[in-house]
Amino acid sequence: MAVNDDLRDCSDAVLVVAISRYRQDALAEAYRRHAGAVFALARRLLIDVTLAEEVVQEVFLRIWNQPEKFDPERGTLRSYLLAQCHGRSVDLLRSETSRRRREERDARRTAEEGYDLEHEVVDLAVAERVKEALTTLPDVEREAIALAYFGGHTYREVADLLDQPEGTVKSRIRTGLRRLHRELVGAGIGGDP
Amino acid sequence: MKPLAHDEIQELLGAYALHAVEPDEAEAIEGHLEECPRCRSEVAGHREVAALLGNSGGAAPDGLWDRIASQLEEEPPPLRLSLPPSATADVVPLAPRRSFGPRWLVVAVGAAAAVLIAVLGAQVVRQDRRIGELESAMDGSSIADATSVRLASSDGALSADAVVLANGTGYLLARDLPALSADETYQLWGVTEHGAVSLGLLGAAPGAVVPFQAGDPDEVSALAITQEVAGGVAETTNPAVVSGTLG
Repeated sequence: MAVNDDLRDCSDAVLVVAISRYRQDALAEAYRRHAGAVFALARRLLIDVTLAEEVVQEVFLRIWNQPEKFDPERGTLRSYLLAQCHGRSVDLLRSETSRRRREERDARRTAEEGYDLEHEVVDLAVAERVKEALTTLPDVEREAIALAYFGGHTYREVADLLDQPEGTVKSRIRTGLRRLHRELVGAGIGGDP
Repeated sequence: MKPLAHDEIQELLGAYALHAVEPDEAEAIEGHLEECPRCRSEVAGHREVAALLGNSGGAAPDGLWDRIASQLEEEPPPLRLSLPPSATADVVPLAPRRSFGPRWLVVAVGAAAAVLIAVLGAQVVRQDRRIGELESAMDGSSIADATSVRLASSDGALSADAVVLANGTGYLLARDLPALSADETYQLWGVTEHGAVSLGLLGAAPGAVVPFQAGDPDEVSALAITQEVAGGVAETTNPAVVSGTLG
């Protein structure tokens, strides 16, 4: 789809305003910028390509239909789209029908590589910094975040999997995320709407 | 589930940002976030970090955009206000004055019809009176020569009338809308294909005929009135109190 030049260089926030004015080329530009990342995350979680494509469709149709839900004051468009994608993917993972698929996926993943959060990040521009920041996390925090975020597990499930008290797991997730925030966003990586 | 204390909610914010809490916990947290900017800001920070972790390159599959594009509406819906689905269907464009009158009387059959007549009759009288006032505000020119619109609520209980002249000047009479509190106002919107454009504030209790500029009559397809905070808003997210298409 042809995108007008005025949209190519505009900020994400301006793009969303254009989307709210029913400009399909603005949605196309948002798709061009972010669909790859949204798809990669959905696929990472769901494995199934068809399901991942459905999630991408839902995420972009949602920003089309409800652009007002995106608040540029509260983060970047990409982090909003990724959060939408993550929430929807996790819903699918937790649904009854995909339980079996998830067990298979977990088994396959364990067989292939095990959990290693450092390998999850491949955007070269920020990969190094994210990797660096991850090394500052204690193993127990990194593991809890990985199981919750990439495994789609609730903190209670993570507690079960790690045989740790629930309270310990939820504070490790929070403490780990805050530590990463200081290391990354505090150092100017991301967080720039 | 028992309400969560503030520190319990805070402890859950990391897991919540990763969609890793139970549905009842998510609900409690969302309720809390509505009123706690500090926790909102913490969640936004966690989400930003999560996005960095989940941010990877690569391209979306071929053909996926075409499937999305095929699901977008061909034509924007007439009102991008949060209208209930039936809100515009019930709106009847204002007919020329002469069509009101005896027509309503001949259908008076049975008690139910009588009730209906009483309600409709009251509306017709009210509307007729408004039209008279609008016509005098228009310096005597006939309402039949202008584009007229009746704005109504989805249940038909509330209504207002407006006329728009060919030069874009409009007159609105919304006197029968219930008065709002002092920190609220009614706001008039013109609905174009690009969304709703504010046409002005009507105050908490619109009284006399209010003149307004509707812009290009070819572009404004409908008028709507919302209830907003005093001072008005640039873009509304509230449902229309009354609305009507320009017929």
